Formats: sequence, C-alpha cells, structure tokens
Amino acid sequence: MKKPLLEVKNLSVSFKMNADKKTNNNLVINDLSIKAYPGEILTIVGSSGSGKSILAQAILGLLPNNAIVEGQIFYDGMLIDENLLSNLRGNEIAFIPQSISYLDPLVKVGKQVRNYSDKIETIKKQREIFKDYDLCENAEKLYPFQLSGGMARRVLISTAVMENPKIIIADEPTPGLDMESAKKTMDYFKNFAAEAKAVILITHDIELAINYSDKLAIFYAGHIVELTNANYFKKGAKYLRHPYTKALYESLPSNGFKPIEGLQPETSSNKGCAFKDRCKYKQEICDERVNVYEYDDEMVKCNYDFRG
Amino acid sequence: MILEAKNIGFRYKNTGYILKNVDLTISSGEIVGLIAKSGYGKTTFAKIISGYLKQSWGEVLINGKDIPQTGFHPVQLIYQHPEKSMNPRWKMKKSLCENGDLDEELIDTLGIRKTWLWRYPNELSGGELQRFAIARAITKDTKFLIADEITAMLDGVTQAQIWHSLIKISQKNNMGIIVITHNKELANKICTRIVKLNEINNI
Repeated sequence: MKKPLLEVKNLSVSFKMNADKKTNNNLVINDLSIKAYPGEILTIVGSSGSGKSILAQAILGLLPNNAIVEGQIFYDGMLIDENLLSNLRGNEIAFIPQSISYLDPLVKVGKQVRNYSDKIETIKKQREIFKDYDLCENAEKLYPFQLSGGMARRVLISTAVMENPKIIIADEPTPGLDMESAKKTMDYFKNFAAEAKAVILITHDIELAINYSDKLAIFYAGHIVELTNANYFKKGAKYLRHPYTKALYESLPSNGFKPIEGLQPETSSNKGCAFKDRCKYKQEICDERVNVYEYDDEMVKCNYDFRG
Repeated sequence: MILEAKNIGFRYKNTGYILKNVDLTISSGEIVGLIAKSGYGKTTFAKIISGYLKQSWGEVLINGKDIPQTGFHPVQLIYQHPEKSMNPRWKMKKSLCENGDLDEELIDTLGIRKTWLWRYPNELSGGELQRFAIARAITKDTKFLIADEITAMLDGVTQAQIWHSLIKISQKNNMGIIVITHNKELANKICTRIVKLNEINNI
C-alpha cells in the first residue's frame, strides 16, 4: 500500500477573536483528516472562508498567535514538531501563498526568488525560471509594486520552482494569470508530482484544476464534506455524492452559473450536518447527526448518498 | 450616461509604453468584459479611468465632460487584491463607511455578516474581504464600476451569488460595469460585450 507523504490527523483550529470576546473560540477547522500521496495532485476546493488557507498555514506553522491548533501532522511517517517543521519549511515543503503581499516590498524580486543568494549558478537558475514563466529580463530588478498582479503571481511560483522540495502546497496560485501562464503552472505541478512528489493545490478555479488533479477534497465550514476522484467531477453532477459538491458544480459559469441561497455558517459545529441550512434534501436527522461513508478513495459526510 | 476614455497613453519613466492611443466608450447599464494577457496593462487602464493614476496622454470624460477632481468619484475601482485595499489598522466597519452610511440592504445582498463589521482585515478570508471591497465601491453615486478580477478568489457558489447581485444592482442603478477577467466562461456569461485590450492598444 502506498504511504502518504503528508498526513493530517484530526486537525482542529480555532481563533480567539479580538471582537467577540464572549464566544472566545471561533472554530474554523473541525476534526479534519487528509492524506497527500506521492505522485498525486490533491486539489482542495470549496467555500470561501471554509478553512482551506488555514489548513495550509497550519501545516506550515504560519498561523498567528491567537490560533489554537489541535491534532497531528505527519511528514513521511514522522510527527511534525516545531524542530522538524523549521527544517522542512522551504526545503522539503514549499509554499506558494495566496496573497502577493507575502513578497517583501523593499527587496527586488530577483533577489527574493534567489533567497538573497548571489551565487552565479543560483542567478542562472533564477533567470531560466523567469524566462520559462515569461518574466522579462528586466523583471528581476523590479520591486513588487512595479509588477502587475499576474507577474507578481509568477514570481511567487518561481520561488517554489527554485527549491527542490518533496511537497508543494499552493494556495490559489493562478488568479490574475492568463490561460497560458496558468496552464504552464499546472503543467509544472503535474510534472513535479510525477517524480513521486506530492502537490496540495488550493484553488477556486476548478475548471482549470480538474484536468490536472487526481483527487478532490471539497471543503465546507471547516469540514471535508466529500473526497472524490477528480474524474467524477469532470463527468458531471450525478457522479458527485454531496449536495454541496453538486451545488458547486452547478454554480460554475460553464455548468449553469446557478447560485444557491444563504451563507456558510460562521463557525464550524459538530451538531448535525454543516450544510443543513442550505440543503434542499434536508431531513430531521440532519439537525442531529451526520453520517460518514467511506469507500476506497472516496468519502462523503452526508446522511444520504446522492450519486446516480 | 457615457464614460469615454479617449486616446489614453501611459508610460513609466525609462520604460516603453504600456498604453498608447487607447479608446473605449461604455454606456450606463452595459457590462463590458476587458480581456488581455497578464502584464498587458489591464489594471493600469482600470486605475486611469477610475482616477487612481494620471494618464500621460489623453482624457477620461463622462458625458463629454472632465470628471471633477473633488467629491465622490463616479467611477469606482475594485482591486484584484482585497487584502491590499483595506487599512489593516481599521475595523471593517470603518473601512466600509468610508463611502457614507451603512447600506444594510446592500450588505445583505452581498452576504456580509454583521459580526464581520467588528473585525480587522486579517481576521477575514480573502473572499469575505472582497465582499467588503465590493460593498464599499457601490453607492447611489457610483455610475461605473471597474471590477478587476474581483471573484477569482471566491468559490463558484459565492461567485455566482455576487455576479447575480451585481447584475441586479447594475440594472436597478443603471450602473455600467467593466469586468476584467481571465475566465472566458464567466465573461461570456455576464458581459453584454467583450473588448480585447491588445486590439485597442496601439503599442
């Protein structure tokens, strides 16, 4: 059996909020487990604010001080603690952050991508990568504010390409990129995974990602509501099991552009199903509890199975 | 009402032209898609017509007249990166009310929760922040809205919700929208007309 390269086990993250002191923990990731296997692109999609970026930041230990993290994360079978993490981060695990404000505004981008190294071979490598990503020769001498949104995004991707990691965690790497650059990035991930490495891709651009992904984890309100094979999402709504996944499918511009009413619950809870308030199939039982069905590679957190 | 960009040119010191002789006219109620590759000047153009950047050549007119330099700007820009468009030291309510009084109906339409108003920007997700950025840009005096990749960081359901509300608001207020996006499917779905920037940019 294949061993996961990265495993997240029963992870919960909550925040102490500045504003609402009376409800002092705001649960954003709720007892979540997920595995990333070598050779695969695991794509995480789902509701904005459902905890996708928080998961990435929790894996990398980048959460702010007011976060309360419970659960375990394993890298290649080893439990990650602070010591191990500081060795892994940037070496074995590369991170492409969502926000371009992760770039240092006061340092020229070429230097940032080279991680301040001035070695000739490092410079050469950086120039090759920039060329590969259509960043003009002049670009390395620019400061972040002089770049367009898409260029800054390509600089962030270049920082991950520079290193030689085993896992890439990419949080929304493609917004602002034109199709050509976006596809180039996805091709890079595909080739990267093919070397028995793992990619965890967080994205909203399902239409792009689906053609490159192996597995798909669908997030809603701090839970994974469905884990499925990427092929099923390509095939159509009737191959999907969870009502939220189906709604997500039907909301895409190419699949009807149909919104559903309502909002995701503000904090994650364990009482019943997370999606119950917006679900058109809701039954009484959904207020009380939610069943989890596991199949080989798939999982659905719903009292009913809607495939077919 | 007509928004006209006439003969717009732009260059930074010591670099080549980014925009040259660009003409674009849009009327109230129109939803125009503006498409081009990354780095081709879409955002620069958006900043010029919304008054954030001074063009090197040309003029931006509403109904044939210059846009007044004081007061509320009738052309409002929503940035690609909401995390960069909010003051990190202000609570959301203060940022939102920069445009005047709180419009409760609008914040409901956009799915903003009341409790978020008392948070700081780093306590919200990218998608949650973007709703504030949209709400801040829309008032009764907003005649044209420039939406620069505003839903790229939102999930499909929220993206569909927000565009359906924006289209409704556009019809109700007779507001014109310029949509900058890389998502062709989205542009085809919501736009009444699509313009390729590289075809009107004479560099």
